[in-house]
Amino acid sequence: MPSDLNSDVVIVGTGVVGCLIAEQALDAGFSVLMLEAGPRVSRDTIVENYRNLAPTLRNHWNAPYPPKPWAPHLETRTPDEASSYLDLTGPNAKAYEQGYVRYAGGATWHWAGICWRMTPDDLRLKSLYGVGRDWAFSYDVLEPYYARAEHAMGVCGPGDPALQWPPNTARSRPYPMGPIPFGPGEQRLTDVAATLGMQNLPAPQARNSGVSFDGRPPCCGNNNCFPVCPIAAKYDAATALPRIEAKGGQIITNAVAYRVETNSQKKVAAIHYFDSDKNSHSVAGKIFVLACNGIETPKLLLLSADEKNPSGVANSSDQVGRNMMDQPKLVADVEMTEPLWTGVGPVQSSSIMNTSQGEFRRDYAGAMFRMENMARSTLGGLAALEKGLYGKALDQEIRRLSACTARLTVEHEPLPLPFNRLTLSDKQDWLGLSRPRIHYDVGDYVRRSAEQYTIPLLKKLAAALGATDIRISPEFLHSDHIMGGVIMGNDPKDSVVDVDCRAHDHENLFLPGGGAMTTGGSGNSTITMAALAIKAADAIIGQLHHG
Amino acid sequence: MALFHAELKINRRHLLLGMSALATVASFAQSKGFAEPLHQSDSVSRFMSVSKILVPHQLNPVVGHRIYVALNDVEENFDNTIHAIHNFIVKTASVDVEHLMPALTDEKLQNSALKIISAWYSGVVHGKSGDHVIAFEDALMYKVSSDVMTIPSYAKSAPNAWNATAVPLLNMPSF
Ligand SMILES: Cc1cc2nc3c(=O)[nH]c(=O)nc-3n(C[C@H](O)[C@H](O)[C@H](O)COP(=O)(O)OP(=O)(O)OC[C@H]3O[C@@H](n4cnc5c(N)ncnc54)[C@H](O)[C@@H]3O)c2cc1C
Ligand code: SF4
Repeated sequence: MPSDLNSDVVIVGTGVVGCLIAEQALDAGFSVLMLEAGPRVSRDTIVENYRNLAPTLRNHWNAPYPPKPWAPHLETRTPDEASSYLDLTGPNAKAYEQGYVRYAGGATWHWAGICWRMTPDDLRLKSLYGVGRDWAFSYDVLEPYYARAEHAMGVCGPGDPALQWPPNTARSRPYPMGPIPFGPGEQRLTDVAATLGMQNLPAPQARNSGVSFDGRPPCCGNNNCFPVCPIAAKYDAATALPRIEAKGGQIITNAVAYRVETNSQKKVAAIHYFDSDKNSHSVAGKIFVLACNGIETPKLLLLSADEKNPSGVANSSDQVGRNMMDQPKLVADVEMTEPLWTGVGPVQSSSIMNTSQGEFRRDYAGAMFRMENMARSTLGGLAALEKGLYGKALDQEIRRLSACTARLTVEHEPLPLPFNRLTLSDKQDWLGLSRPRIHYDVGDYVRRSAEQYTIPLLKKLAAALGATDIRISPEFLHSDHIMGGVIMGNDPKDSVVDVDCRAHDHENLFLPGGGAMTTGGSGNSTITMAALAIKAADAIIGQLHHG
Repeated sequence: MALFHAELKINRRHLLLGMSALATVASFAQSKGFAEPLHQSDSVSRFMSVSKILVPHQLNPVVGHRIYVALNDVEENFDNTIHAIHNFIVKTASVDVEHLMPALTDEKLQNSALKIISAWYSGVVHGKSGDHVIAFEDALMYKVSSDVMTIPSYAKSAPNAWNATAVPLLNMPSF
């Protein structure tokens, strides 16, 4: 069947990964066509959706983004809703309730924008500590791509190398902007943590600090980075879409890719997609990029199984959908006698990273600690009202709960474990496509870390902050960094993509982003996904130039 | 929808007023007598009068009107309840919520009073068929910490103009 459309580069997904590659290919003079499953929605619609939510729903980051029937994503307002798309199994199913929106612009709509690089040691877990896998390249190879990603997204951060991460390590370029100032809560955490040898660093973050950048305004501390920055001071991929179109890129929204077709030369020939009326179309091209995120990309490869690719496209290694990772998270809700006052500045703006490194990683996982910097006025208000208070007592209790409570968070470094696996569910979505089923077990490496290392440290940190009450989440939760499902490596027998995120099995198919990450590190990982995207874009452009 | 937009405009104007202007508005509202009629229907003005005792702060009449409509929708015989609370206030000459609530021993009236307070603070009225979201930036729970934290999604300050100063709990803003 001849394809309806044709382009040099066909990209599935308009999240940060897809958009970075699209712009680079357009800048190099190639034609780009993007398929996006979800709708294109204006920022003010999302802001209005958010402000019109009942306060109890305002911490459900997906609530202002109602999905279209053809592009479902996780919704969490009720337990029924939470199980209506992702089909999760295993002992830590809850820790894989991944939040992403299938909207043009993808999950950066409601990301916090925190951009921790991985360290040289993070890329060498196997050789240093005998666990996990080593990456196929060293930090030196990744570093220039990190710098390019920081400039592409507008990441602000400290100039002092001792306050950077990894610390005192050569960088090819400084951050394009200086750090965002701390509010009172973060300053207090920094001072208190220091007494325990925990260094709370100003976070590198994709947020305009003090100045405009890339046509977007500076951050004014609206403290709403998730679920939506109302002024686009925080980078999100939706801001790239008009630029991509201005450069000649074509974006087709409400177009759900459901099949990757390969030809007799083992090259990808076309992508097939459904429109919102369930009509099927196809797109031909020279290079194909699946940038649908760490769940939807492996799902699409498995959905594409046919006679030529009996276990799915790009899956001769049987690794597609395995090694699913995220940083298993524990949270501690603490109450103190003295005011801490979170909520001044962005919703997250600092983290303790030195707890992620060390010899102990032979035995258990490293971890990142931080304090959420969200304004707690909604939580405090609702909790005080629950108590049936009124008058001055009500006001005092709301103020106390807003000021003297906090949420501490610890995110553990995951290992790539083949049994953590995405397969196709027997349950189907509105289009009749299999939903993703994911089995998830955080593993003993993380469990040991929680028992022997992070929970005791969390309790110490809370005590040092003057906590009178601490409630630690009874189970691991998700951190929303989806990784591993199309794992990178040099050996086509045990990995899906090569060092440029090119599928070992199909030379014109690229699978960049979180899925390609060999290990996850403890920090938020989108900057690594973005760096891999830029590296892949270089390879794509090279490949188009030479053949 | 039209009402919602009108309310937004009013709120933006409120936000633009300086603190001294706000204080003036507050004292003007407080100087009004308990039973002073507003230019609204009797039921709504009675609801506002009761609200002024239950919630000792500056109350936006547009928000009040919407809370009244929503509670009327979800509570049976809401007008009768308001009448009863109103009569109780008059009978007992209650001047503030601290005296009123302990005296209001009728459980149904007390629950309704708490629902009214909750609506003013949270900006939402919960109904069987869903939530009526009435106010966002006018929800009073945000005013209690407005000296420190922004109402989420509104600017805190000029770029990077906030700092790490922790203010005392006792400095309650007036609103
Ligand atoms: C609440 C929250 C906070 C976060 N905070 C941070 C943070 O502070 N730092 C950090 O590093 N990360 C953070 N993340 C994670 C971050 O958002 C993601 O890692 C990042 O957005 C992934 O980008 P992506 O382009 O790979 O995928 P996505 O952004 O998910 O984009 C994929 C796109 O592909 C489209 N798509 C999917 N399937 C199909 C299909 N079949 N056909 C066509 N199109 C398809 C989707 O609609 C979507 O637009 C956060 C996530 C959440 C939920
Ligand atoms: S703090 Fe506010 S302005 Fe800054 S990025 Fe977050 S939402 Fe945007």
